[in-house]
Amino acid sequence: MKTDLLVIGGGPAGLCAALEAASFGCKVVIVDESLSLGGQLIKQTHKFFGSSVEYAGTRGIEIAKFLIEEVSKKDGQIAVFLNTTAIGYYAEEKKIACMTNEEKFFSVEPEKIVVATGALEKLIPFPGNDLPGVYGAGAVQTLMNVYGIVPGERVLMVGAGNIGLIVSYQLLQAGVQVAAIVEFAPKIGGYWVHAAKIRRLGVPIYLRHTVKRALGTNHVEGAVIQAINEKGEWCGEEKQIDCDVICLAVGLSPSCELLWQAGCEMKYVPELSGYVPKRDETMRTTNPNIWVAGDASGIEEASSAMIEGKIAGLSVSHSLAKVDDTTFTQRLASYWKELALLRGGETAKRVRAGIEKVLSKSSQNQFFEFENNIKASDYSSQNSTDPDFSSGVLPEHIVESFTPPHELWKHKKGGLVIIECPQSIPCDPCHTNCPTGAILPFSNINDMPKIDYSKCSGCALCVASCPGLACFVADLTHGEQTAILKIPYEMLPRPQVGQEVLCLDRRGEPLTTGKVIRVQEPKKDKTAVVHVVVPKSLVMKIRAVKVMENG
Amino acid sequence: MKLIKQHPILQFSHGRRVKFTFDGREMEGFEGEPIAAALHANGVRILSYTEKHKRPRGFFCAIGKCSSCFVIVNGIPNIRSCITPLKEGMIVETQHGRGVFRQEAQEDED
Repeated sequence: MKTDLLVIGGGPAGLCAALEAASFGCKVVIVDESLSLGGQLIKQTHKFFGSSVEYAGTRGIEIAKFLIEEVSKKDGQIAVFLNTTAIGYYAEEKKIACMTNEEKFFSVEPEKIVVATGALEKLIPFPGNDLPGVYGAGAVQTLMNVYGIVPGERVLMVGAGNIGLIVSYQLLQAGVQVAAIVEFAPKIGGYWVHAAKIRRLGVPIYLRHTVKRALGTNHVEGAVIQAINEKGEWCGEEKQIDCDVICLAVGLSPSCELLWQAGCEMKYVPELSGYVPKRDETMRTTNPNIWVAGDASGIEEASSAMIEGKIAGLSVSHSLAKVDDTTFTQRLASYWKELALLRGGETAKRVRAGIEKVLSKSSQNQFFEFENNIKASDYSSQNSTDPDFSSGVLPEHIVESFTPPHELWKHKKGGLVIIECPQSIPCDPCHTNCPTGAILPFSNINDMPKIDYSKCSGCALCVASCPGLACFVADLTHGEQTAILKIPYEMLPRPQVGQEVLCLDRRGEPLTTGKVIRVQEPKKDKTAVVHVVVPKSLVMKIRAVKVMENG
Repeated sequence: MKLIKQHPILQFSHGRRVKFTFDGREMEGFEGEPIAAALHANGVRILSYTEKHKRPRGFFCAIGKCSSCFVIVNGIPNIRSCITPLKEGMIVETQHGRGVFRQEAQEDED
């Protein structure tokens, strides 16, 4: 089979590479090992961060649907082979051998190749880590979010990076208990707001702890966890966790076997989580026929993977003389600008350092200037040793900074917004969804939101659209002693109007009960905004509600 | 089967229900979904045993990378059950060790 471009891997990077190349008239073949296109996107029930110009505020599953639909519209130009593994690169014949459904073999003869093979789960050593019931986080997501199968009754999550935090939240959504999250590092690795979402639902995060052994003979029947000191030695008491699943979210490694085999120059880059190919600013590796995009080029996240895919698709088209130089240069620059924004935050420092090590020197001068241009500041550096802050709970001493000005607040019908977003992350839907201009435009999407309280109407559209569920509205005009809190809600069962619900603080501790007076779904996207009446004294303490078992 | 009945975000549309067997036991699953997913929904946690220490192995990566979910399907060993779609009437068996093709096994016996 001959084609202009073979894309190996139909996840976010691969699909974007294919679509970009097809848009310039390339004939494309996509092969993917799994049973559907979309890669990990098809498991992502949470809303994405990033810029609203791209997909911020959209759930991963919706992005997958959109991309897959775009690909199917190019029927005839993009051919898709699912359940198909690219098993070898034959340099002399310029062929890639493929295997479908574990039995049928064929080869593809492409002019150019984009390797977008994604990543594989890392494992950590502990006795019993091979027992059935020890799952990679991706596997847990596949079971519950793709096939609707309950992965277990009660889960111990190992790792508080973005995946560990997100999957914990998804487990709660699927009705599975999360016993605890253990994290080896002294602070969570993922976005702070992701941690806050699960802390307020009562899931503990044990920092500087890890799993010591799995219990059980035929499958997991529990786990033992313990603290670790600064030297990495066990310390303190062992603690037994009652669970039937141990979910490992301890990082990913780039899936780069084909790149090795194709002779691409590889480099071990800890910041990118493993061996990755050297590349130029167009994602072209040192093998001139092979490009790379997405996690295979270094572990990052789906938003940047999609842009890398577009860059690779654009560059392939350019190398096949299907794009003129001007369009090519302009597009490339605009994609790099988007990447620079996505990588501009506090949490992307590592990625920036990693990419600097593998991007060819000539490209760096041209495209790697953003380090100096982007300076977003946040609360994480000042609070890096605070154990509450480091595990997703806003410490008392900075709550004040997020409290609306009292004089305006106390008489403001409808209430004022409270945005508990203390970390520099690339995200802007709170602003783009604000109809009154109260949440000011971002000069840099990595900035924390700035609010002009005089313009806030308390409409709670930001509450409904914030991907981090970090926006709340408090209306102090409800009564002498009472206020209305408007809280985002994405669990089941959904509270009903008139119902008394438990009101939880930032750690998930119940503080009181409150009556639900309204339940909205402003964006019709399954994020509800629950209006609950609470004591005025607790508006800066209550951050979640829970439907009580007996109604 | 252990299925999620209600979900705040997702709606699951399953394929046709089909019958298959696992180590001789009759089970039901959804056509086109991975064999490993069907087994998990039927409460099967152990998919294979290791060659040397006979350790039980189950579902782990779900993306065809880790070899933990190898099973025997219709007599063919080393099938990655996490990415192989279920079909009506499949005969699935726990794999012990490396697995042997039925044909080879036959020849060995002869």
